[in-house]
Amino acid sequence: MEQELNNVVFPKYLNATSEIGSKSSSSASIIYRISTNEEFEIFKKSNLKGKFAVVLQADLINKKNLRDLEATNKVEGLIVIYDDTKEPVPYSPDKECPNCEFGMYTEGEKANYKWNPYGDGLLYEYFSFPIYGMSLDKPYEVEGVNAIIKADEFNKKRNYKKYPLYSIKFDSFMYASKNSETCLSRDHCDPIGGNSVWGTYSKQINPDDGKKIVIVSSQIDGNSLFHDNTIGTNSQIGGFVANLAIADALSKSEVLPEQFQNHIVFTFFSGESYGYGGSQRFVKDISSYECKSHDYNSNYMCSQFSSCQDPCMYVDDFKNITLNNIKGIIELNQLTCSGCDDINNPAYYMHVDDETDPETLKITNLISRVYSTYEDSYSSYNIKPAWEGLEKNLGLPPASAQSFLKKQKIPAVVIGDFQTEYTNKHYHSGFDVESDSVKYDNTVCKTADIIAKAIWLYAQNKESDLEINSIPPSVSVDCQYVNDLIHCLSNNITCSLTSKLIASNNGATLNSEVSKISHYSGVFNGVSLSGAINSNYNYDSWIANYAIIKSTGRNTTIPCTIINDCLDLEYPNYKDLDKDAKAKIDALPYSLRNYQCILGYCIEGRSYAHPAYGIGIEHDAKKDLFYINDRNLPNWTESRWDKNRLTIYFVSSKTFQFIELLIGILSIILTICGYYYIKNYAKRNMKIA
Amino acid sequence: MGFVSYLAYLLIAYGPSITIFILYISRSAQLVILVVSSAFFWLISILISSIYWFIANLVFKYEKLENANSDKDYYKRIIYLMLISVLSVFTQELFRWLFWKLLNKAEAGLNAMSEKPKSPLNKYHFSFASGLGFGVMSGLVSYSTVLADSLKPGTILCGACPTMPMPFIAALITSIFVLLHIVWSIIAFNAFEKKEKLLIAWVFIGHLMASLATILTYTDRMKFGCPICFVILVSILGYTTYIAFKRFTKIKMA
Repeated sequence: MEQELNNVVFPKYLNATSEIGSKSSSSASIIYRISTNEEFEIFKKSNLKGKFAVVLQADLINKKNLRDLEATNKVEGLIVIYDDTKEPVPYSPDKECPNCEFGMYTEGEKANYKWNPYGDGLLYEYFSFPIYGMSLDKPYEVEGVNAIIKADEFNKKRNYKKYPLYSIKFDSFMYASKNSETCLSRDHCDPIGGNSVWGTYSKQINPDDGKKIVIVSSQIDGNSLFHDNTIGTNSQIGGFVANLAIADALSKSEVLPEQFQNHIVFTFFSGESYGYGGSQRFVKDISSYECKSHDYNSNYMCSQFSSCQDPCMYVDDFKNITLNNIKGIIELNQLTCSGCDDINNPAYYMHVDDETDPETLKITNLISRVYSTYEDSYSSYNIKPAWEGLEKNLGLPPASAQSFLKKQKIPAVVIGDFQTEYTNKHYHSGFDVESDSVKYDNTVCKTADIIAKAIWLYAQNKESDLEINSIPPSVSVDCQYVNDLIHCLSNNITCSLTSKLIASNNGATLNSEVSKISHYSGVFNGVSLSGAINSNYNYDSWIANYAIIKSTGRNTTIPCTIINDCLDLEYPNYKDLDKDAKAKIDALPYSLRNYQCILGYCIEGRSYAHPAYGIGIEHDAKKDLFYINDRNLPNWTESRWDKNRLTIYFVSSKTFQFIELLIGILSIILTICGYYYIKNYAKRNMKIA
Repeated sequence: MGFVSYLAYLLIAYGPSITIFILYISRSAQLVILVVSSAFFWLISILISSIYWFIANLVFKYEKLENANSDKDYYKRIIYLMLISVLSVFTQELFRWLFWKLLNKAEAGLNAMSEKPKSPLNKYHFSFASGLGFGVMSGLVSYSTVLADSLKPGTILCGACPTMPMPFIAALITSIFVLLHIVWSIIAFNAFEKKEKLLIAWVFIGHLMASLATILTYTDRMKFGCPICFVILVSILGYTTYIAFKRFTKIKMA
């Protein structure tokens, strides 16, 4: 009598003051489908009675439409259908100035500048009805979508009035309520975030070694209305892949990067979409971190292998990075040029905070000179300072670099495919996807190549024209690597490159049914505390982790299939050790070992996980739970929820049900009458009592 | 689908039988026992019918035809339904006869224990109670799961009349069948006693026609399936009641 459908939901998440997202479950309501703007107007003006489950085409989703629907008071729940048949209108559910309330600019124009012109802030609104999403992209949701469409056609023929009609029941229970503080104390929610990853070529970073640190940074998490439908090819995958490609290019330098005059640190920040969770926490920890206790408690979430128990910190190698030692930050922002005016003439811009600072200009000048030196005569690519030709410098766009500059003035350049406003027409939207037919040779690959060369010079303190002209040809980005990675991350995680990366160390295989993964950062929970980089199926951290070790580590050229094949390299006398020592070595987590098996070879290298969640939340190691320690700092949490259900079935009208009841009562009355009639008849006509 | 509907279906399907039981049967312990035992006999007959279905499935692979879309498979299903219905009706009537035989042996004792030992009406009381037992058990077996499911949200629509929920139609059919079993038992016991073959045949044919008529409500291939089904059922009920009544009024009062 009922059919259950697979779906995803716009969950409830909370901050210090309020809850956003969609409300918990509700009762049954008639299916009503809206697929065009005209139908939308018809629904708003109609005088149909009752409550409806509105099935909305995804390109009609925006704040105004949803608020209008709410105002009709006829909407009991909303189902959003994603199908890729038509080109969606430019739209972004994020704010016009994303994350600006947590950035480095607190007042003036830069604090509210509208970088995201198509944004309306839908992601931060609260709705009084549940919002579910279904996509024709996912094979296990197609059946459900078709069922809903058929049901609506049936209802439409009956003008949504003539019962019986198809109805849908939403069942979703969100545990959290009120605000982050309340739900964290009740253990009904988790901080939004995950694990950032960073790596470096250098074997040791010492604050007193006379070397400074060049940070190459990118964001790896995306965002959209439905976290399960979050891809973000153009929002963050471009920058993420460029970062990995630069690490790969520099690793091919004949002069080993670990011998450069400066350290290079590659950072991959997660949780950035929600108040710069990854970068702000990283900056906070490298400026002030102190381990208070190493006492391990087996009942608590903190792993016994963590370098510190209070606060719970899995690895503490970041201690050697200090804000004073950072020479410069180069951040790879949106780089795919998906919305550029002319895709054949991609234009890139270098954004800085202070265009007069000579140290900052050193970086931008180097990049410009590398560009002009290595520019193809027939190429139409262009990269130049963002403030060039503008009345005034707009400052840094929303970027992880803002977290560093908020604390201390550091030379920072953010590279993006936009000048005064995002060219990406679907920033942080479910429509931010790209097919495999798009190639990034002229966009992401080229940009990464120029930046890699510039970093090669910058990290070696080389500035002269002669040095620029003699960058070895080995230092160049592999465009095949860039294209493969972007395609794999966006469209098919089971492709050769990423499935091999994921299979590093222990041969973990992917469920072949899942091809598109979500790039939402997820939540930071007990599992994340143990530095589990692949927790909550966040493949971005997982892939960044292994790819950066491969690039920054030393390839021993010894083949392997699992990590234990490389044990001899780290412990040459492993065979002679006693049982206890062997057990101790075997128990050590892969991420803490010095030799890992990646893409078939033993690589000597490390990468480091770093907690990423809003710095307004802290983990109390003594009580082993999370709490709000500053309501004014980002403290986004996501509610825990039961499995969401969507069931579809027929209903008949209330009047009909009461008529049925009437008939039932009538039949009993008739029986009683019949009995007495026959009894009297027998009495009268048979003279027998 | 909702508590209101559930209550409605309960009253429609089992209301008459419950009312009759409370008003009429419960006055006499023997009648209660007769109801229960005849119910048990019907249960055995339906158990044997289920064995026929089991064999049919084994031999003819009926289950594969369940999701038939082609006309050929569809007609095959109908033919099988009809064949098994004939067998099942035959079995039920057979057990009605067997119950009558049992009743015969016990009649002297039953009569002695009743209020008016020599009343000719007793036979009618007994056959009425047997019929009720048959009917109630038939109703329970065929309708109780549908009734339980009707509490869940949502409903299935009747195949032949898609504006009506299926449990509603089924409840009506069940209540008619309960009454039908009562009058069939009255006539049948009378006919067994007087060895009137024509009347026995009528009971058998009437039962068969009523069972087959319910098939009309499943499918949307025939127009007006639902109304025709009910017309058939109600007319069989009417005519059978008329025959039973005539017999009833012809009782010679001693």
